[in-house]
Amino acid sequence: MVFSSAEFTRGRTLAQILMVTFFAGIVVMLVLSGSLQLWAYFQAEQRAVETNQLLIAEGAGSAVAGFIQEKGRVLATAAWLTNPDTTTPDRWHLVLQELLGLEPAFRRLEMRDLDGRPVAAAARYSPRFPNRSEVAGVAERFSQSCRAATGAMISDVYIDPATSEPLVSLCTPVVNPLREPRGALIAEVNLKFMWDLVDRLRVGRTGYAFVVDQDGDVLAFGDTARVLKGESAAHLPPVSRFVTGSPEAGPRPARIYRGLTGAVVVGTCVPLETPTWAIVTELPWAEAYRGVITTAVASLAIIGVMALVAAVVGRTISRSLTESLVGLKETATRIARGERSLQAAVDGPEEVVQLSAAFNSMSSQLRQSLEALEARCTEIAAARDAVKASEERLRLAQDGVSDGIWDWDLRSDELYLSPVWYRMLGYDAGVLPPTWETWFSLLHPDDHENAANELLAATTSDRAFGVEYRMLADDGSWRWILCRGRAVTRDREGNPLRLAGSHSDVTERRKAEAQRAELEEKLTQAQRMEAVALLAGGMAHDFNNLLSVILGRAELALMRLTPEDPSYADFSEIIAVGDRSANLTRQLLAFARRQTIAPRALDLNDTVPRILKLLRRITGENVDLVWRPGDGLWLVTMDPAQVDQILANLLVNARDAIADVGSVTVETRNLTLDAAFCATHPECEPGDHVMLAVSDTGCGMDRETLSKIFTPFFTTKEIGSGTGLGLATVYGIVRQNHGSISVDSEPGRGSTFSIYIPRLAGESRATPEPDDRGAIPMGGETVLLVEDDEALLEVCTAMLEELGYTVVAANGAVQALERARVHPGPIHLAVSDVIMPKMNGRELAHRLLATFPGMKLLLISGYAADFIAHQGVLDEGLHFLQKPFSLRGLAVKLREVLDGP
Amino acid sequence: MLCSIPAFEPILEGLKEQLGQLGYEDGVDVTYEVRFRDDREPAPWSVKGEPLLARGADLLFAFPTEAAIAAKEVASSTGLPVVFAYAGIENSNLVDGVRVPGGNITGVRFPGPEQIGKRLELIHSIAPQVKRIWVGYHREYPNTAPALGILRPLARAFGLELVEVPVSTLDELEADLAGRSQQDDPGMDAMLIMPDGYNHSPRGWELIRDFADRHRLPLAGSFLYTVEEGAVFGNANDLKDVGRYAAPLVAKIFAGIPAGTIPVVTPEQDLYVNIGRTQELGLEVPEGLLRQAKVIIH
Repeated sequence: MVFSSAEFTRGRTLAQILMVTFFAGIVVMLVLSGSLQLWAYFQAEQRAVETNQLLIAEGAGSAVAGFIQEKGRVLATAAWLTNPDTTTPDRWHLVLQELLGLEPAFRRLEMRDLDGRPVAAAARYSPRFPNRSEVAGVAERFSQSCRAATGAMISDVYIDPATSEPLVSLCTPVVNPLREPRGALIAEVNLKFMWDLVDRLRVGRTGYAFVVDQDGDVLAFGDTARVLKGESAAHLPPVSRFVTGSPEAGPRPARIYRGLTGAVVVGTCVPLETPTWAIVTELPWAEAYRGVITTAVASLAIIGVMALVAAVVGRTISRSLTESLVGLKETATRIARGERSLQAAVDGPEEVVQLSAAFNSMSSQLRQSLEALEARCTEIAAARDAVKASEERLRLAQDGVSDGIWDWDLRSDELYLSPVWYRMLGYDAGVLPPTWETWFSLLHPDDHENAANELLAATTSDRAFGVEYRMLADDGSWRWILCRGRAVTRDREGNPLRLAGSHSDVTERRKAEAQRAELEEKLTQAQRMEAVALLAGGMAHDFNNLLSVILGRAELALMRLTPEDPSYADFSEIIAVGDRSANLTRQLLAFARRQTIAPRALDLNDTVPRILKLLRRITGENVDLVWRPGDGLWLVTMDPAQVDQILANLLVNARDAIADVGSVTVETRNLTLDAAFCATHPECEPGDHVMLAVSDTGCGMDRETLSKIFTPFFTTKEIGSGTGLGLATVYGIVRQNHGSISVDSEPGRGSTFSIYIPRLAGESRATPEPDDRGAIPMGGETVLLVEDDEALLEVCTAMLEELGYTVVAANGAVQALERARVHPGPIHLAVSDVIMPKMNGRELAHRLLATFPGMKLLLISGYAADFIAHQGVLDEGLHFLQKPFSLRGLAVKLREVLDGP
Repeated sequence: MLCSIPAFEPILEGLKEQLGQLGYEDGVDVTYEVRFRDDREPAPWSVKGEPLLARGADLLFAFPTEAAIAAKEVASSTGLPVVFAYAGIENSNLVDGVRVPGGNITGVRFPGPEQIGKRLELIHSIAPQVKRIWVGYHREYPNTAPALGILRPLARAFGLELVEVPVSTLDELEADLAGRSQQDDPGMDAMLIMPDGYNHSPRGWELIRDFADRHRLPLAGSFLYTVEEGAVFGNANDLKDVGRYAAPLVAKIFAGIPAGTIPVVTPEQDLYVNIGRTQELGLEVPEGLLRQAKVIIH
């Protein structure tokens, strides 16, 4: 760890630093000198311990060697005192028994001649007991090796298996007085008699000694159980050297290791010359080095005391040196607290005196400077307070208004955006940095150019500017912002230096303007529609009257001609053109919602396929017309003729949208419109509806076309190919039936027109279709015909008469009343125009019914005025026939009215 | 402490004395409770019901062989350590071996096989004219079989006849001797003390001693007291020394060393000669034996 002087001095007083330095220096010196002395003492003590241990071990070794040597001497003495040439075996036996009595360590004695034959033997125990064969074998082998002995011999140690005691055999030669060898005297020695000797050897106060044999096995030790156990001490370092016979096996200085008893000891091993055993002495370490330990503890105590003294002395010296500086520091502190006129005491060491004088001079100058500075600060503080107050007022003003403020310094390009500027867009002030990057990142991409141009223009002109653009609010919406501003600071050349302005949220205003424009558009559309409707209605009346005459006449004429007649084709063409003209009139009335209709309960799954059957010719062969009826379709209320008109128009458009081949799918389905759907389709109302959809695989439409398709007279077809009334008619019919229509189309992906007609609740069965096929029904009743158009009156009269009816014709309502009153017979039915001068058809009907309650009434008109129909729907109980009508249409309607209730 | 032969009580004295020297003061550091066996109890001896066991003994000290066997039987179920003294380890299954006894037992060995052979050798040496030697023994005593295993071949080697009298009760022993007393020739030339409980029980010893005395038969004894009371010699061990040998073993167990790891100790044999008795019987003790004798009684 690196420890710098700067780190040491940081946060400490000078007195502390001086004291610690002094203290540390003294302690280091003491520790160094103490350690050196202790080391020298330890070296000397170690040598003393080693010498002492060696002496003890050598003494112990002499004692152990003496034990064996003594047994050998006893044996040698016995052999010396006995002349083998004159001693009988019995005498030898007696000698051996006496030896057994003399030396308890002898277990067995034997005298053998030079041939190895036993001469005599004596044993402490019977030689015949178990487990002695091995021992006997060892002894025998040794005895054999002794027969030519010229000197004493000793065997290796062997163990008595019955007692686990260590034994050794000794051998001494037996010679006659002439020194001629005659045999050997052999003794088996029980080494347990050596245990007490070894146990009594004292090694220091708590040390001990033990004897090991050439294998390191313990032969003698105070704890005899370890000997009996046959424990080995070969793992101990000194014994190991002895066993391995290393060159260092001789007497060695003491070593420290974990000894035989497990304690840390200082041990010494001394090999014996005879036998080849070793004596080991071990003295516990703490006892061996007790002097060193005591000296070390005493040294530490002395160092501690000296360190304490050093600390006290160091503290006193450091205080005396720093006292003047402390006074100077306290003076500086008091001056800092406000006692500016205070002067430091000028005394103490010379350096401190000079320092104090310099300090006093400096403090005087500082005081003067400070006073001047304070005066200046007071002025600045007042000015700052004024600025703060001004800023506060500005902030309050900004917070009080709803407009955000921006301020652009052109020189530094710094931009200030007021909190309201951010709040207006839903951001927390400060979240976005006040930069032009922020500004432009929030701008709507479509407004970038306009906004940038206005701002750039403002930097070069003197005029105020105002521009509206959209900015991205925090909630993801676009807010319309009115940005106003102008250059507020200019340089001498008049170049703007700073621009400032405001942001106003004009989103609501822009929305209101958009709504107003939309309403105006709708109003214009409604007015246009109303005008067209008025025009159509007025035109339809007169036009239908004319068509009725033309068609009626042509039909009557055709009835009198055969197909082979040259005029037949002409009249047929007249009728066809008349029908198309009538259809055109109906279209006009339909999109103007002025078409007179007779709604009834319809099942579109019945109605639509019947119509499609007739309309297949419209789509042609290249278009596959697919019909997909929905299951369990609900009933709707509609005039079937209108369904016919809807499908005819949509199929024509679909066909025209398919350039080559394709398919048109017509499907029906039950659908419950929910509020979510109605929110995106304003004309819809929530509830159960029946959907009638027509899809084609044609060219589709772009958005612009889609926005205009329901506009009357708008067409994408070539001049002469379309009237521009088709979809307007569909739209009018749908709206007339309280339904709605949606279009899904994209260029190249076809179009789907979905029409939603409200479900008819309560009805379970559709009204059956009148059958208008077969022969034209004839009649014979009397009919009052009222028509103010003379030509039409004539044609209708002729048609009625052609159908077999008796006709009472009247040119107007007044005449009709008169003719009815004077007619001699019953009048079964009045057929009256609706729009007539003086009295319309409805009033006439009331008058006639008042006079002739049983009379039936059929109104005919090219345009059903509001007095017989509400929004084009006939009032209940009235019968109506749209002009122009065919002869069959008239005949069927007459029978329907006359045969009805 | 379990003692099956009251005459062996010196073992206890030696034990207490040596333990005291090792720092175990009687009544302070260690408390002894002794249970002697009644002579009339049949072998083997069972001590399972001993109240001292219930009182929480820390160690069982048992002597000689049959007490040691009984103690081991108890220890096997209680886990108590056992130190035996003067117990024959041959044929008794007391220990696994001398160096490592195993289990939770150790002790001082009775060197019976060595001694009984020497006893026959000694009587043959002192009374070489003797040919028939009476040996009465408790047939189920653990030491009996090993002793006979030594005696029988040795007798044959010496040309001696062993007059074996195996008994199961002292009464049978008495009956045998009583029957022999009725005859002119008791059928023996000498008597030899066997290492069992009957030979060393007060009554058994008295029967044998009196018979030998009555018939002036050399009696080969064992302990000193047998020599003092009429045996011509005795070879055995100093019972007090046996107790002393056992004391360090007890101290080691008290110090926490498992008993089964402490080697078995073997005591040294002594020879006692009653020179007065031999002279009465006209026998001569070889000089060499006299040199070996620890005690010579005149």
